Amino acid sequence: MSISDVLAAGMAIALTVSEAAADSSSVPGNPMIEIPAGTFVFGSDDGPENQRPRRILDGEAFAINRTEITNRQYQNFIDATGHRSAFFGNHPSLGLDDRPVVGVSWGDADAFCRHFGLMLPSEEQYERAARGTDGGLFPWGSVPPGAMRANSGAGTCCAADARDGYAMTAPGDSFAEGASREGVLNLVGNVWEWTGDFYAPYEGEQDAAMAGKFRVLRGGSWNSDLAHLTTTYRLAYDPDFRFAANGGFRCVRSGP
Amino acid sequence: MRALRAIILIAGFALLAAGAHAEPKAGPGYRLETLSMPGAIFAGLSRDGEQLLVTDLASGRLYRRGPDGELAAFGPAFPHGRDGFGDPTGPYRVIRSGGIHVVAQGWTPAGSEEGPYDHALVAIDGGGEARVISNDFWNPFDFIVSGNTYYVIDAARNSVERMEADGTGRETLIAFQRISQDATALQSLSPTEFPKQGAYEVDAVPTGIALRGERIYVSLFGGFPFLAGAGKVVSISKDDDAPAPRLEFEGLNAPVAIAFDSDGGVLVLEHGLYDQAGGFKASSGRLLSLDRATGGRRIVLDGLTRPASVLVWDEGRLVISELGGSLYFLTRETAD
Repeated sequence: MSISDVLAAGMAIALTVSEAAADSSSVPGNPMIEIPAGTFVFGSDDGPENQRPRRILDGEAFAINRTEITNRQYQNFIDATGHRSAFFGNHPSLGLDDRPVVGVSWGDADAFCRHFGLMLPSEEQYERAARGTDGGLFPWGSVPPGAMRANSGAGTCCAADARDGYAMTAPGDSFAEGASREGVLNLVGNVWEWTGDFYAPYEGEQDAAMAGKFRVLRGGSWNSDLAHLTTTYRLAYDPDFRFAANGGFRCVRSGP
Repeated sequence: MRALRAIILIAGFALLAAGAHAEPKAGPGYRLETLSMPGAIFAGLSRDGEQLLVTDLASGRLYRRGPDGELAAFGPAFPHGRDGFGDPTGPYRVIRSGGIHVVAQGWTPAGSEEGPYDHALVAIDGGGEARVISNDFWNPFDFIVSGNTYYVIDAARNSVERMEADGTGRETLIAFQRISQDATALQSLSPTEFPKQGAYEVDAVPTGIALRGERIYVSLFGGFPFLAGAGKVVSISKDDDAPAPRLEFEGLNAPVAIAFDSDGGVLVLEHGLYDQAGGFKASSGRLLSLDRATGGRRIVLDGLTRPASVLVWDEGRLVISELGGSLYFLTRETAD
């Protein structure tokens, strides 16, 4: 079987979702979902050391894009600003209009959000949006991801898997059954999402050589296994790296 | 999470050169001439009598270049375009074998119906008619002919396949194991994906193949993140049923082709250095001459951008192709 076969199979199933309630949009075509202020669970006492400990934080209200930023939305940004293209913008599958933009550095993502008066989410904002207030394992609850809730990879890291309908990226508004309580889509799976935060331990001293050097991505992607397809896994990467076929982003607006 | 494994496939050949680059520089004792064809994506090279054969992934055509220096297309146009990962696909190489030409054809282009010529060895007879020898490959990137036997590089299975010229008797001669890398070198990319003291394995992707005596030499392109020095050349016995690879050279930068010069010296074409922010660096590819006895290395041609194939034309001349649509002709200068 060729790769094209896999892609064809992946594209044969297109899930549709109903529009979630949302307020006015700052990124045309991508509504901002309001997340109210209040306490929420952040971190975990399980899993990798760098996501510990679990604690209760008090967060400000913010709003977050309902979907990951799509190629269509990113192209509009390029057309308006002259910013460089996404690396996979012309890819026959990854570059489809309705798919999340991939192949962008942290700087590209940051520039996009700022253009619309927005910002990349902090890790705390990501977790609040993805876990709700009570530290849910997944945006939809505690049931492990299945083929209807998230675009994920094979059981063993880190191969693509089309059992969920998509060999690589899925449309930004797919997997409605995996929506968060507030209606935000694909906070787990589809593409890793850049956050605005530098990578640092939650507690204790940071290795000086690493300080301010890496940015954090969250949420796992279309080729992630279950160990990485969580709301707490922290992926640190060189912010200049722009060749990830599974790395995208969404934006937030702070304050009510 | 090996988050970027997918890039192994995508970045491998998707970063076609854009814009102008400095002309490559020939090593001492060589004179360089360049032929460029705008828009072409030149790939495999071979010799057919006095004609140079070269494939073009941009058009799916096979070209021959005779003594008049003109490129003339021949045979059918093969499927071409971008494959599902964005890489250029099409006829990777054409070789004259007896009364036919044999073509190694790549993936199915994205958006196209799969056809019989995809991921196949295809024979073209003297009348230009094509027939499939075998399409039971995933990515037949290169091949050689030895007598009545074809040895085919499958750059997706990471194997060397052996088969008879009539398509029968196909078997996997060797499948290459992944190459272990010191994860320390990858810490600058991601400290969570490549933890300290950890080991990281990259794909050993076979690329070029050459025959010398009873042994087959294969260049191995270390997969993502394409660390400098991760590439190797190994050799195997061509007749064994389960040959053990013997390391010949290591410390190479993404080798994509291998050839032997008339003196038995080994020529290795390095695709170049990979920059995590910018992809394969322009002008970082090289043609090296390696001395097995001394371990010495000599740069024959430097400053290449995305080179694809090397051909020893005769005792004094070499040809190199670039994906950017250039052919480089190196002529050894005589002492007089």
